Amino acid sequence: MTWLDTLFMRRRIRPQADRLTEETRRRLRHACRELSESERLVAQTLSLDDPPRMVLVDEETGVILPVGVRRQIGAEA
Amino acid sequence: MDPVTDLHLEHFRQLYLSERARRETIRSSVSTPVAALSFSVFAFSSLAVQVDMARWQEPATLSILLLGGLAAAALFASAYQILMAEWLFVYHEPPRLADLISDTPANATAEEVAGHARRVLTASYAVAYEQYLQGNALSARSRTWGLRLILLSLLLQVIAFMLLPLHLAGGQTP
Repeated sequence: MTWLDTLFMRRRIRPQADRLTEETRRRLRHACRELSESERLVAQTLSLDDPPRMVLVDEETGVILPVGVRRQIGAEA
Repeated sequence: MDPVTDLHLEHFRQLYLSERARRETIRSSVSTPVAALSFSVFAFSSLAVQVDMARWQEPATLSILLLGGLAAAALFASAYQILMAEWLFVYHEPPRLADLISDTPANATAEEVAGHARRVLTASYAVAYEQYLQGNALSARSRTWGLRLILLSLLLQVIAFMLLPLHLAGGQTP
């Protein structure tokens, strides 16, 4: 019945980076790095101890990427 | 003194919200070139059934074929631009509540907590605004080029249709 679930249920949010496909991670890598760099610069400008932990949402796959997952994908080679 | 005031927070929050709303406006406006694209394909089929390819050496026929080819190229280029306007867009959002709270220094006074939240949120809105601005600029550019190219395609087809009577007259036997 898994195929029925796949067909009729809306795609679930999968925040775990290890469950994202390699293609999705590769596609999002640049956006993750760019956002982390922007966060670092704004934290430097405002003298924040830590950069803001923003959330990235990928519309193509319907995946929400919290800061941890985002940084993990951005750090991949 | 905290360099980030409520004015900064409100300013960037408004910019962020308006840029996010603009994203949806751009998405809605893509429907105009898409409608023109459908019409253009229909016009193409009308033109194609009228032209006798065997008489391609005649100036009028050759011109129609040339214009038709250019119109087809502009049509495909427009379709590509429309696709790019919607391609691989990601959304940037402020931190989740748990992340916002976890950043707060321990033993901080209420004023310090408010100041910290204000700085983090202002920074988040500023970053999200810039990212949306960049993405929207690219999407709007693709949307505009999609519209321009489909208008060019339609214009070329109009000229081809104007030449069609000459082509049809040449095909009539005396």
